[in-house]
Amino acid sequence: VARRSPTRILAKAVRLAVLAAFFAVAVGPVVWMLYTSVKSESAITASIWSLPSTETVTLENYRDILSPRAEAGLGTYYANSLAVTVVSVAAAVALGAAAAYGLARFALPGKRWLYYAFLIGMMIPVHVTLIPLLRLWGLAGDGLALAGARELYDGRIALAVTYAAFSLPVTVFILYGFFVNVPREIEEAARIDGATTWQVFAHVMLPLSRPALAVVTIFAFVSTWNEFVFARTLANLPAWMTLPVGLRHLTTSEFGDSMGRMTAGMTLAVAPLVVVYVVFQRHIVRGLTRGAVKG
Amino acid sequence: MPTPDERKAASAFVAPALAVYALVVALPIVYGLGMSLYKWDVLAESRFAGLANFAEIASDPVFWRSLGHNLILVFVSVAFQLPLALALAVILSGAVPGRAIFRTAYFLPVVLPSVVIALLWKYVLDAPGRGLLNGLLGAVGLGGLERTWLTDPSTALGALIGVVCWRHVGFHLVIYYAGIQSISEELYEAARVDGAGPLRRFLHVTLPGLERVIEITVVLAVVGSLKYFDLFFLMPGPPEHETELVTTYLFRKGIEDERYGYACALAAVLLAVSLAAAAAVLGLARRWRRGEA
Repeated sequence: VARRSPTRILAKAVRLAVLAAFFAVAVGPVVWMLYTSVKSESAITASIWSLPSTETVTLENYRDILSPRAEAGLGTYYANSLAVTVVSVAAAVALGAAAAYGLARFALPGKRWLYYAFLIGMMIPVHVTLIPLLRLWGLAGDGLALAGARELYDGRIALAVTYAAFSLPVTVFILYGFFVNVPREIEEAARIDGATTWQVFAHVMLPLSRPALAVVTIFAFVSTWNEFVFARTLANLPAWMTLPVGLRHLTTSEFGDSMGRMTAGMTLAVAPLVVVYVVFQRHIVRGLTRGAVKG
Repeated sequence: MPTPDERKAASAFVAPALAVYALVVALPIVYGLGMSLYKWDVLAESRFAGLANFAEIASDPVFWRSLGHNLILVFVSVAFQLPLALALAVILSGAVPGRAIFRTAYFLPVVLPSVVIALLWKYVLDAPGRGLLNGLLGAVGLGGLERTWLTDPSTALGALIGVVCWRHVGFHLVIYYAGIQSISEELYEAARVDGAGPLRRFLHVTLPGLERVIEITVVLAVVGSLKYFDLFFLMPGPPEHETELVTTYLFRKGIEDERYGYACALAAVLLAVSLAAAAAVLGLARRWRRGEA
């Protein structure tokens, strides 16, 4: 159908120009962050826009921001982020998959109501729970203190449990939608072979659901890894800080005014995320927009 | 009727998630609604105060100002951000090279942590002699416009809303793009055969095909704007609540001033406003669809 008239070529050029302009706006700040992180402080002072030249390119910003310091540093924040994210995502996917399966496959009085109870979790502003959760986790800490085990209280555990619960609504919603569309015959065949309900779920349903499980895992991973306000409220000690809170904390350190050191820290903080994103972008885009398109 | 066995199995599958959800989401909401009826500050003993906190909110100028900022954000998101996302999605769906690369790039800001975005854009919008935008303006001879965009009261709100749109436009764009892909190519062919140009094809094929998707993005944009927090909290602002939102005000009252009861009342108002807004948008959409049919 392609007719090559001048107006068509012009229209195509305009379209490409619009897309390219927006491309520059979308990735420009990130590209600037990358090249500023390898510029020396004097090169940055000379011009914040200029690209680093081969003579001035340096890794000293990375060396400084990673250097061992008196207070907890980037390494600690990384470890905390990783631990909190892995634990909470694993818990949310495991609990959410079981719940979605129970709701999709068995008759249960009031199960419609239960399903809606999970769904409404996607609509409510989580900030509503901020002060109550601070108070309730404080009470849990007080309880441990009364039992003489104050040191067992850990803001990172409070955070992981909280994140797991926050990830449940989307996980249940997406997996429920997947499970109800799987034909029952597949499970019935396994049942005739003598498999228990649990075995059917674990050895038949879950392996079948890998694409949907990937989607919910990625969704929970990105939102948990990036979360700020609950981390700031529930785990605000330097030893407990996750990357978002820690990075913000670094702006008040001796490196706070150094564009080079801060962009190096920011680059390190987003590097795994950006690599994972570029490699799995098809799944991630599908994961983060799935609920909306399916709805 | 479910058999007892079935009921037992279902309960075993659902109970663990339900317990965590009830303890970490439902219980705090109920607890917070209860606390909103108490005068409870960090130094004073808490005491029941009925609706006193809500009366105080009703006459609190900062609350109304914050809610006004949320409504401006709702308006800009729905009236500018969504149409921009739709326009870009339509252009991207046409025959252009490198579609996957564009899509990957547009979605990148959605994936980045808010804290990193806040730091990045602070560098862009920083003071004259420091900020990237001011440097650019100076270089093209518009030096007269240079200012500290985020703390100048006349530009702070606009600059912040701009960054919020930058962060989220890719999300809606990708939703629209996926929606357009799912519209049957035959409908476009039929419209072409009938002699419909690009504008008519957009109005009579693309828009009706995206009805549901648009409805959902409007709900997401409205509710998202009402409960927005991150960048408004993370980026520096002018000192007099010029960039306060309901959630950031809630945080200041509850966490910084330690006025727990008042913050919980603000949270209750926010919850009511968000749910009412979501219901209103869905109700309007339903009525609109019925009127059309």
